[in-house]
Amino acid sequence: MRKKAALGPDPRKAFTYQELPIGSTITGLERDLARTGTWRFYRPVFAPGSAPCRQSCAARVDIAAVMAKLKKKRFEEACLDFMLENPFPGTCARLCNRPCENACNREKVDGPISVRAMEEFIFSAGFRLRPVVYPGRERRKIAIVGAGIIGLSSAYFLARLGYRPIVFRGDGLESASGRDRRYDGVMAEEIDAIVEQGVVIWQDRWTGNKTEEFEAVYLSVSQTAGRDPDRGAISREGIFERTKGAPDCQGVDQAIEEGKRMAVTIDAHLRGKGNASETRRSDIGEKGGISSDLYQADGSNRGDFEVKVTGGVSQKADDEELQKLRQRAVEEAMRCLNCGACTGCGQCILYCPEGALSRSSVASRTIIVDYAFCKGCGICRNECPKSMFVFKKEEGEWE
Amino acid sequence: MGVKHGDKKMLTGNYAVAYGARLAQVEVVPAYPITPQTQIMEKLVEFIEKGELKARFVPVESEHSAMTVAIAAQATGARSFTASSSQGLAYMHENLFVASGLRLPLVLAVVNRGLAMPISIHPDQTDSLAERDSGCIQFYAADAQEALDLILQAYRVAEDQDVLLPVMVCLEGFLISHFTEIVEVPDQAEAKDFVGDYTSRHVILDPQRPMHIGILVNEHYYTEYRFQQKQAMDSAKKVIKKVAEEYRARFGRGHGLVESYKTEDAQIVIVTMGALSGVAKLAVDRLREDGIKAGLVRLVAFRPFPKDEIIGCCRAADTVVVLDRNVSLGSSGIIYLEVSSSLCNLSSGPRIYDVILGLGGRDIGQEDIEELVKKLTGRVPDVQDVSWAKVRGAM
Repeated sequence: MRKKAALGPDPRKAFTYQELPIGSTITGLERDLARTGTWRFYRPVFAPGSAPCRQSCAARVDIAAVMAKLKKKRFEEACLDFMLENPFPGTCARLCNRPCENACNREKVDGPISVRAMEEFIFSAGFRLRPVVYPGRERRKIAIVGAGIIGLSSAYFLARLGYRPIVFRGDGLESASGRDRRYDGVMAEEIDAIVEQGVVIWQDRWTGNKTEEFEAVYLSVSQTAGRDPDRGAISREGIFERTKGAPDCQGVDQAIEEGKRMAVTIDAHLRGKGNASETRRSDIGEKGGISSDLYQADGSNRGDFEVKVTGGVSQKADDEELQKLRQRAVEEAMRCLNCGACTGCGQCILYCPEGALSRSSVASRTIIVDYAFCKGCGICRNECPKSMFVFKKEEGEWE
Repeated sequence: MGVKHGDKKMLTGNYAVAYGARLAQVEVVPAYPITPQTQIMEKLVEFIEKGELKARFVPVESEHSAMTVAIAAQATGARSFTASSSQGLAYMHENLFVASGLRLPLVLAVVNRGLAMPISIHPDQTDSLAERDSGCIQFYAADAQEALDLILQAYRVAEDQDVLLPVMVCLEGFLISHFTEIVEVPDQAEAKDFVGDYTSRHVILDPQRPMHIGILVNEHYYTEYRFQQKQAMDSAKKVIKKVAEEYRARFGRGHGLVESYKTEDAQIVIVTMGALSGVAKLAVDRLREDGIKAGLVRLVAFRPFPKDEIIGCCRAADTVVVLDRNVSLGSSGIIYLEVSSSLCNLSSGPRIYDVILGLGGRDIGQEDIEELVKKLTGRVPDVQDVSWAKVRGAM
């Protein structure tokens, strides 16, 4: 009956030609009369994918998102996006072998995007994130043994979750800053930024008898070096070692990933949650790999975060060198295809015959599908230049 | 209010049509910009580019889409205009029915050209006459001036609340479209005042007022909707006459359903349409000098067909000669069919002859018409009702 009303005059009545509307139309329709959602066999799901660069980077930096912001010269936001996943832009610019560039889709066009240019700019711009305050967490006692990239990364990500971990230099280890003397200045600056987040670096050597003072201990000490950290007298819950088979700095990105994974593990432990489920919900890509942004965004603790960039451009702002770096980074960003991300072009909204698509009021690059009206025609998928829509077969019986 | 004469310009028929559209202040102009498009669009785009016409030009990939855009634009309440010719018009075919069924008062200029194959860029009215059943009103201009006038009249007729039908204004390719003539271009303010503003009251695409356009009615209401269109066509006859009178009062010219020339006492009436009427008038004058009482009826509107006017002009005649610059192959000329059906129920109607001539631009002069009228009035017993003129090897 309702459908009939949408299709034309009621065939059970005998309207004369004078009574019918002019021009084959029906007016005064309530939108609800044409709930075309019942016609649907396939359901479009707006599914932002992760770009191949992000999938290949163990640290899961959302390079496409950073590039998108650089394109618009929203430098602080670009920096924030980067720093949420990686505290070492300068070190990565120098040490990382950049699997992201190998995976870049632009390679098929005219060569990959230079991610290094982006990292170098973010490092040089000197933006700083505001430290996260999470009442109650700052008093939890966490020790991290080892002040290399892995140890410092885990300390950084724990600080981003509101903890105030203490980093000990390893058992006879040099810190990364000491080992890579060439990059001493760069790394020192980045370590300063990590300390600003609320990480405490103690110059004391770690000894096993300190174990009991801490709720969680992460022994982030190189295993291949054959050095065995002092575990202390007792073995108990709350002591974490490097993930089995974790690389010993094979790649900077992998080291950061290990640190990030451990921060999540410790957080899950301190909150009494299962480790596996906590890491899985923030996995990106088929190979695993945690996004700290996703980890924070999910669940209850996102609201506790102040993720604003403070301080603005550092003293280097007027520096000619920085200007050049910025220009170069923007040039590279302009070449970025922003794989996997909605560009917000609105083509899908324009072409949807049912008017079932709209922009999210929260994020303009997110499309909301009104399933009461979406009839599953698939035009949005065909029109989308970024293939943001995935079609899934509707479950259940067809009436 | 006296007659206001406009500026005189040297214009081709194409440019005259473009000026007509400009004077009507059209708002959306979709077109496929390649052959068989004409200079109509070229000139209109120039007007838009120079800012002389505030309209949106929409280049599309086919005439089918051009008509679709015109339909959609008109449905939003914008005054739409497009133009095409021969094969391009044929490509619009199905959408013409959509436009007339949705009762959208858009105007389409058609430059009549021979339909391929073989190709001729010269006139043959079969292209637009093949669309005679599409539910569109059809006007046929006899010269460039009339082409301009008919565009203005067309919008008034189309947008009349008793009509609301698309209008095709047809002009013959080359003979009218490409020949330069003196054309009086009315003053813009006067033309605007004559045409008025368009407000759609029946079909309007507006998200604030949801409307289902193009409905499924099946056997329950299809006939009633068609009957509505029939009624609109019937009232169009009155509206066309009214608008022509108004136009005449304002600009000194006006084009109603038909133009009759010396038919009051005519024994032989020539019926034709379009540019042929020019030489036919000369032929009428010469025949009268020879003592033959000839007259001429030119159809301005072909749809709705002016049956009453044809009967009025031909009732007293004993011979009617239809000159068809078109052919319905397997039958006769198309105007002949219409004229015959108009006159067939008269108790003592005239004898009606059809001559198919001038196809694809074959030149027809005054002496050709004189000659064939004399031949037909001789009532030679073996003469056929339908014949072709100036066909090599056939006569």
